[in-house]
Amino acid sequence: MTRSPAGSRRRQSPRRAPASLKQVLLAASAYVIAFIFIFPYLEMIIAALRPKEQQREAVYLPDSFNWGAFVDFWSGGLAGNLLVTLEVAAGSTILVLLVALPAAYYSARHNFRGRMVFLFLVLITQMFQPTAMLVGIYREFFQFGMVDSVWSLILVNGGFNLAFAVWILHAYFASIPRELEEAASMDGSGRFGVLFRITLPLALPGVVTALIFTFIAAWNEFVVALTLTTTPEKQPLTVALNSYIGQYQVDWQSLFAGSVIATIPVIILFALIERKVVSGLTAGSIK
Amino acid sequence: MTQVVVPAGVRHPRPRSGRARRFAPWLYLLPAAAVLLPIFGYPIYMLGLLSVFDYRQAQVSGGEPTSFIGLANYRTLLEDDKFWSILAQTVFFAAALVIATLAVGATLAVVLTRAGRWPRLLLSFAAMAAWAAPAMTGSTVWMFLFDADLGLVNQVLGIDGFNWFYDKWVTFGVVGATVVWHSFPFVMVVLYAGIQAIPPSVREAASLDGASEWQSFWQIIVPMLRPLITIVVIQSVIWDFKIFTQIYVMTNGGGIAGQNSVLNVYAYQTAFGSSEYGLGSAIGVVMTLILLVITLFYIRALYRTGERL
Repeated sequence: MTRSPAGSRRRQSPRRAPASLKQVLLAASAYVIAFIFIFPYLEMIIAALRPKEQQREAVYLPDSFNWGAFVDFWSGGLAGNLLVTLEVAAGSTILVLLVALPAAYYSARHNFRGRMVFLFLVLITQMFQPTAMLVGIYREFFQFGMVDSVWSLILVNGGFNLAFAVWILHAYFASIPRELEEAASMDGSGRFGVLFRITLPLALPGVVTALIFTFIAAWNEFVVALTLTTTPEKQPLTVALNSYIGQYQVDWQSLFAGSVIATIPVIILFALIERKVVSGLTAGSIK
Repeated sequence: MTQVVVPAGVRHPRPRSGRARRFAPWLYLLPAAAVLLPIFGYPIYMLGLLSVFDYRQAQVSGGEPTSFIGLANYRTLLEDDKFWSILAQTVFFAAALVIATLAVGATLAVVLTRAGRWPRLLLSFAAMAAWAAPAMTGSTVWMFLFDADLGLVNQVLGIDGFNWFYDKWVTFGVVGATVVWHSFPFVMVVLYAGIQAIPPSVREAASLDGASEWQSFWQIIVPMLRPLITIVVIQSVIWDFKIFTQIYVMTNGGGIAGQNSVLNVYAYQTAFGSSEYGLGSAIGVVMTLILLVITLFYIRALYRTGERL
């Protein structure tokens, strides 16, 4: 079964009572490090809100906040790019789950010829870097008239994230005792009844992990979209934002307003599933 | 037999013929294959094919016929000093990134197990935020922090106007910090979970025996988490070797005269920037082969950890 990192929740066993100097130093350094790591986000938000006339002044906190960049985001058409990103991320996630679930389930439950070959072929796809395949991918979609289409991005992102999903789901299905399913079917549940009432609920953490990982990877994808979308309105947010970075000048406010909007959904998703992801990643890997 | 999930006769009195059984796997695996094949099959074929052809802008537009040139693209690469220097700096940069990521991630994993509730929560949150940041937005924020005129780093250090993206190795340093910021959380979170899974009695015994933090890390945590560490290391190697977005965005496509290029960016620039699709494909093939070797090590490591297959 999965190993939950429940230990983190457990109260630390009683330690020497007074906080030692070491403990204080440890806590202090943890705070400092955490601050340094969060800092880029603060910078992003402040830069997005900094009024243009204060951009060149050496004051860290501007006198007033200017929400103009956020307003421009919605009125300036980037909302459409956000929608593209959302469609691509949601579409690839659904696609990945639809095709990964049967494959992972079957290869975990049945011993058939070519099973290991299948699993390792899937694993190997993980190492191909999209940049090396871009020429082929571009030609392929060009031939089918699918350049600038959301569907092509969904397919590519689905393909590149399938390996992780198959493997993690495979590990979960394999960890569910076969006897549970057999017992349920003795009780008169049909094959699909067993699948939906027993197996899938038990594998849910794995499903959620695969779901979130795919969603985030597709949400953040950059290179493929950079090549496969040429019309500004059809580009996902990551590519659209890149156009704010000019050769000589960068429109920082707009860039960061967009970046904040692009990042927040991902952080929320991550916060929701952190624990599940961790248990999913470490499942079965510690003896 | 392990084949049958539902005991025959309970619900499915229909005896399944041998043929049905032989085809059953494909029913389940076919959808996955149907997605993977067009995304990987044809592009890999094209990658190999183009790498042995003279295929440039003129051929794309149909101005000149496409001609087979055998291994000439590879020969061009092998004789190209730039390719070798980029290969060397890719390996060097990736190695430095892996080491830095592991050092930061492992240290913080240990800090997490030791810190009190609030520092731990804050640190986890910071890690999540860094992990979740799209490579694209992370890169731009770090660029801004190190901007010559507007960047906070220069203001704090009082070196207004210093350009962090001019010197080759300084640039690599800044980009490297960004990459580590993006990738340490994975290492930290996995190792933290691993440390938590070590029975508390083992750790307590060590500290009762007077083992220092340093000793117990190297003599207890590392040996017990070896399988996990192997996976984390290889994942990091694959990830850092393929680095693209941070370099592409932060150095505007590879830096001054391409001095900060890595293989992935170089392949992209050669193919799409200079329209040398054949040569770019050859670089892609070389990269793919290197990654294939790393992946084989990964598969072996997976086997060793006893992951049930």
